[in-house]
Amino acid sequence: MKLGIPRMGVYSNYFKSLLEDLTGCEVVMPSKVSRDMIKAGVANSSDMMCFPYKVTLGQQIWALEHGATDLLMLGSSGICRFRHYHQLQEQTLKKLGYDFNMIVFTKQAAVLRMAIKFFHLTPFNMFRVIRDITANIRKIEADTYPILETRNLKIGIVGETYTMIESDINFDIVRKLQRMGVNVDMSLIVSNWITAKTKGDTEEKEARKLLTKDIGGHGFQSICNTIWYGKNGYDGVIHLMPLSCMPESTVEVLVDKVADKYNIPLYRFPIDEACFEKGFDTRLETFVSMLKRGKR
Amino acid sequence: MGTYLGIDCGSVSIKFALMQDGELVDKVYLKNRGLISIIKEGLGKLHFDGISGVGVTGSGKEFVKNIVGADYTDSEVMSHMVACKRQYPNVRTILDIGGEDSKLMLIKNDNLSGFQMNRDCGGGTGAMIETIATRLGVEIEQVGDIALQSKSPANIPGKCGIFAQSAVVSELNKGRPIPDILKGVCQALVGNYLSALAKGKRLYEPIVFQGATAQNQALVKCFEEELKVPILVPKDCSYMGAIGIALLTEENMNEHPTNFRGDAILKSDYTIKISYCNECENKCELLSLYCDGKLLGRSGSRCEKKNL
Repeated sequence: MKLGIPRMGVYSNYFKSLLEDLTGCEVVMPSKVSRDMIKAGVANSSDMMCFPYKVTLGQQIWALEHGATDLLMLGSSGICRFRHYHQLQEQTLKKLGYDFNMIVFTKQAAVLRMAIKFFHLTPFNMFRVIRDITANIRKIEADTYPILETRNLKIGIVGETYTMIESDINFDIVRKLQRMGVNVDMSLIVSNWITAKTKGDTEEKEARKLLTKDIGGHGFQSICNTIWYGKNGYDGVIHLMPLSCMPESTVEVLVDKVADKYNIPLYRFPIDEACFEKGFDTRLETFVSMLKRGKR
Repeated sequence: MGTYLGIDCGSVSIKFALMQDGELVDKVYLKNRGLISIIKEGLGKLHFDGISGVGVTGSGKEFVKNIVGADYTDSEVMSHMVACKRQYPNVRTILDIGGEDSKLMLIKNDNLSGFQMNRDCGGGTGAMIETIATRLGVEIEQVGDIALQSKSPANIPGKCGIFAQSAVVSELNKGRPIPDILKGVCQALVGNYLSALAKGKRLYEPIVFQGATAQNQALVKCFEEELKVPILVPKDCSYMGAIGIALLTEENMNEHPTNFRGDAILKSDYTIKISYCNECENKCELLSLYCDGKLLGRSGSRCEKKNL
């Protein structure tokens, strides 16, 4: 079996080697998300599908072209349309004539069930494996988002996960900010993903009064984490989202409201295939310049 | 105190401003026909004895900063804001419609409190008026005065510049007078600008309108009709970016001697070499600037390893 997977930002290489170790199979993953992959994904998706769908589809096409016999895709128990992606992608790819098996990874209990069946893990070594994986993920995160004393601005990032972690689609925003002298806190990191934790319970209570029911994706978390950044002395918040992301675009007005309430500057970057880097860079630079001036 | 030079390198035009003790003492405006020759030409036209500091802003700043020896660079939005505040210290909102982009700036307590930019579409920019004016055989400078004569503006859709053009042709065929068509286009432009950049935002007074299109009195009137408040237009509105970056340079020099290359800029020979880095899959396009055969600067490297 040759297993095709999409990139997962800074965790990509680790996840690839982890899967290879656990399954004993060859794993096929692109070394970066190229313009051609995005083009292929866009060409085979409805316009209004959100950007991560198009980007993962493009990578799946690449993997199949490079000999993948099986594809691994995340599923979800939330109500965002993301939970249907694997079905839509499977239909699209089979219609294009590819022959393969789609394996879906849903979180928490299902992951464990998968792990036992798929990875031939016993409950005995399961604990050790999970402990090692968590430690490795935490190390990657500490290396990617270090807090340096020499940087005098702190920005928190909220929004949709894939756009936040995949530097090939977010124009490398984290490194750019760090080079501009900004410490970056990524509110949604994989070590939180398993539990979909937000940064605080008080913030969740407050956000729940604004968004009374679930919206799916990480829309609720975007509100909670903006409140947390506002209350904890951050200089600004960046709301990173795919252009037509349902949960994020729904909560925009609530995120704006809490940013206003806690007096924390916020800038929103909706990302899709039509964005170009120069325009993105100018906005990012202006936002940082505005925050620096405010701190004088 | 001292003389500070500000250069605003836009894609359409390059503006130079000399500021002395907070006053604009000289200025040059040139169409962008190639950054290096324009920099030389502009500097040649300015009159100055000594420069205490030079600042660069605009889309071409990464390239130009090495040529002139810039002491400070900043975003064009910040530069525009600072320049506007010099003339209108209490300004709260700045509307800026340029030739090929548009910006909105909200100000509170001597700083931006928010901003929006449109760089993705020509629909809400001066380019929309320019194309239509050309098709109607009207000089761009005349558009405002002609549009002001309108008695009954045509209804032109503003979402897309191309579709606006089609609507204009259709109105012409119906025999609609040119002033009415042009006023309709101005209204469409204002509507597009406000819907793209100002949605959901409260625009506090005083409101200033600047940018390449601010000389168009019909646009000013359309904004006043739409927002129902007086709109202020600064003098030297085309030079706001250059003025602003000169002021910001003065603020940020902190007694350092300037890096301004002075006469050397005019006397040197510049060449640009394009190469491609091979160290990873990004294969970044690198622009190397050589001055009299020596490497002066390099940009384009995403990981910044190769940038100078």
